[in-house]
Amino acid sequence: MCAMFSQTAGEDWLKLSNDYFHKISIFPTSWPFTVPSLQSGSFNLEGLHSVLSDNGGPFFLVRNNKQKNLIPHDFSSKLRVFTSSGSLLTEFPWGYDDIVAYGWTYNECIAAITSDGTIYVYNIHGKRMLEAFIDDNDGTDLIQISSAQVTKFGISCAFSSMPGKIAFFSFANNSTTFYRHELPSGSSITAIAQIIPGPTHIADSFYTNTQYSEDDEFLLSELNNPARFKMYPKIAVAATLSSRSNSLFILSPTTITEHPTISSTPITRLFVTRHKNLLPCGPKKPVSFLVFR
Amino acid sequence: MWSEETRIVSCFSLEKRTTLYTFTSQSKRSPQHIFFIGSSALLRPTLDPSLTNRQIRDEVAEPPSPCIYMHWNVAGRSVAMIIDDSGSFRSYNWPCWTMAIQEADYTIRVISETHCDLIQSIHPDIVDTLEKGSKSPATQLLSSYLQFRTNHMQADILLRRLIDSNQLANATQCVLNAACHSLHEPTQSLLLKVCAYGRTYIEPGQDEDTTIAADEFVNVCQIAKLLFNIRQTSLGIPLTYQLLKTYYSQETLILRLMTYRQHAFAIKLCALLKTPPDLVVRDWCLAKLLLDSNSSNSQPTAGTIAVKDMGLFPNTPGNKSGKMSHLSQTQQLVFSIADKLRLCKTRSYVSLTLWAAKYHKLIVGTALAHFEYLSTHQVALFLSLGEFNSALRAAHLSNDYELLIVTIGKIYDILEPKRSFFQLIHSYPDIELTYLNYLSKNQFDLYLEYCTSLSNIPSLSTIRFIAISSQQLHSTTDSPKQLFSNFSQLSKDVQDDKLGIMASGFGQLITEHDMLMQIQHKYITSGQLPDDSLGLSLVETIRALYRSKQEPLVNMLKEVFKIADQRLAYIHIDALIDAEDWSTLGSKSMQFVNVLNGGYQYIIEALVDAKSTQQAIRYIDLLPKTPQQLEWLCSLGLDVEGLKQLKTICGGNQQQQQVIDKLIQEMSR
Repeated sequence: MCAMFSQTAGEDWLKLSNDYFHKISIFPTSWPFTVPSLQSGSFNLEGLHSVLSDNGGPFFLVRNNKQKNLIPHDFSSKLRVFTSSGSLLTEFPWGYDDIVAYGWTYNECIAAITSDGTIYVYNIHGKRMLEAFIDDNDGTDLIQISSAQVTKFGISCAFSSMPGKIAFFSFANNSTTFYRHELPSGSSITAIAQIIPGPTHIADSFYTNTQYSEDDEFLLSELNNPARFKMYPKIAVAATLSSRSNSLFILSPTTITEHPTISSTPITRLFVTRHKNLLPCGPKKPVSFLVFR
Repeated sequence: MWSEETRIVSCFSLEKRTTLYTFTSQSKRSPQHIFFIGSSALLRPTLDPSLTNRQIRDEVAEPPSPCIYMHWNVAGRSVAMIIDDSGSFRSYNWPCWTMAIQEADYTIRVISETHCDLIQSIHPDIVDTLEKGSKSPATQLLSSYLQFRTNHMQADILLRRLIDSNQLANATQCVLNAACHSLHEPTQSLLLKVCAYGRTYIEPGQDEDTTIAADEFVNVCQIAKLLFNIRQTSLGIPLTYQLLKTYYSQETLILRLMTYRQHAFAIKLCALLKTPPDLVVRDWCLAKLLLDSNSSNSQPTAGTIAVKDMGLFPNTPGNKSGKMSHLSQTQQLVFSIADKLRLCKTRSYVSLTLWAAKYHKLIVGTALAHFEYLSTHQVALFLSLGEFNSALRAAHLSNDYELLIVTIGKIYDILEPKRSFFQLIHSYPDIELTYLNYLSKNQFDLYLEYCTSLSNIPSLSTIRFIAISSQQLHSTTDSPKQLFSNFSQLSKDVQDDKLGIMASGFGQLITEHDMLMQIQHKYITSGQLPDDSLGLSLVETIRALYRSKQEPLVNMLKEVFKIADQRLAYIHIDALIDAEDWSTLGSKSMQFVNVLNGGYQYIIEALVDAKSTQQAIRYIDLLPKTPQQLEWLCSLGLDVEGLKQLKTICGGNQQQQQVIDKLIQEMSR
């Protein structure tokens, strides 16, 4: 019987353990011809930041100024937002050179943090919705961000000017929280990651929760109920201590957990799965695997 | 590509059950672009709250398989890999750079230069239904349907087998779930047909867990259609059923469609969700205003003219777009916004108007303010836009005395010089009368200022009345000059500066009144005015001159006392109607329409007030919009006339004409 469906069922299914997987092409992409580096045949993302929004959302491309020799010469200093099908939604000038991390906010705005701790949030049409600063309450005038991560919830960052200190900027509250449990002196943070809650059902009806605002052109920021984002994630920090050992710390605003000496080599990236599993990676290999609950 | 550039370098235990393999490049250039590494139940659809208890039990009974997903770009090529706990893996290659993200339902979205692909684990119900060699009830139902399409008797045998073993309901539910999660549209369509086929044979009254309600089936079909539409290249939103139902609310999808400027589609989605489309319509209007670049900073009065030219008024049915070709671009914009806003139950033009004003779309803002149905809001909007004429008319039409007085007070505060304020009030006789009554009782000084400023000389009796009302004088028989001297004396006695100013104004008034009396006397002696005209107010004098057709004298008075054209037109119309001089009214009607902004409205109003209904009908016919005509005819109780009017707009539709003829006959009886 199933021979009747040979063209659809089973043909491209790949079995792995007890599950079947398949790859399905949803639609062809149509890249804009105004940007030659994105045209078919010369498609090249080297030298660019590409950041995708989840739930089938758009993505944006912007020059990666840290790889200046790889930036396509025809890719001007603009931030371009595309749909998943490659249609150009909007483009607007983007003149910030020293961006440490990019991402999308919970209401599909583009967020970026510069090395001096300035946070920019733009809506999809290029209107600046927010310009904020990670300001240190301890009175340090100049701060230097060494590493940062942007998630839907907010931006977590570590400072090279203040070793061991961690800050979290919440998009829902537009405020910065410092995780006060400072790491041992002499520590240098090598990687940082937010441990965000797993996917939850978004059922908040914006029709009941939203007040119409005359100032908002496209209402997007008003309509997503930010209440569920008003929480502080735990932050995983990999650090090289003064004793040259490499440890992993999991911080909350009130507590700290240390997993000492998990690697002999520095941890350069931290991955967090949707099930809150934590995977620290070194320059060559993963060094351990932790299950965080 | 895989074997050439990568090798396994290490493995270690994961939760005592899973082995994690990691890979690195043998070449000096190690993988640089690892986008995501996941683990544990990856690519496995999670529980759907809409699933029945039976299905949840099934889901829980089978623990998800732990897998690792990796993706990277290297040397201009791209690899995505899924690795299970035994070390087996499946990989997908692209000969170009790709971007990838893992969705909340563990589907992986990969965007390359040519396609947007999804990698996902196939839903168990799809496997159950379509797997090669499967003998599950769902497969049997599918097989039965395919035989049924070819009229093969095997269809009945397979179906009977399912019914006898009480497996038909489960099979149908399984097929429905498979249809939900299928991303291949032809397969999805087929599975939905199979489900419909199975449903017809399910006996009613079975267990709730196993029967499929019609609503549920229709809902799945609607969502399938919705997902199919948003997955089109033009929209480019590759959502899965699981994402939409569980992780990404449909309301949020409406927001995204609004952001993509796909408002028409968002409204359809609102209809599907049974949600009011108000927010989408408002956002559409805002976007429309923002994108319109043709109505930038201009005089707001043009907005009023735009609306009047169109003959648009609140509560009148709108034009079809095809009939809008004669309208200007601004008019079309205003019309289309007003038309769309009728979809909103909670419509308010306030925010739109203010927003338009904020972005210097003053014409559009003013025009939109005409559609606001709350008088207080409308008046406030006009005032904020500097549209004082429209504000006054709106306040007057509201029949709210206090609103009118407050509006005039606001305009008095804003408008400079004061003479222009007085001229504004003076051009509206109805409003002027109300305002003067108010002033005479409450602000006598302003009353005098008003009269002296405009040379609006009231009748002698009016002056006496005002003087008495001011509670400063007591005599009712004094001549104006005597009144003035009494008043001046009084102001000196009480040594009140304010009274002194009033007396001075009063004096000027009396002087002008004397001038008018002299003119009246001259005209009476020359026989151009009746004998009883002496002592009449300026308006009454002009009216009398119009009645006796002495228009050159009126023009002279206009020059002497600086009377506005608009005001003269009002007086002339009233005079002609009083004299029942219909031919002159007809011949001069176009002239009046050009002077008065309201078109034929004022003439009709005056004729209706004078109970000259037949004449009013003549001018109702000249109104530009049929709905306005019908509104007037119905308000006059002229239903037959209204029906005749309606018949003229039916065009060639004979069926409608016959119905209207029948109604006219019945009503004529």
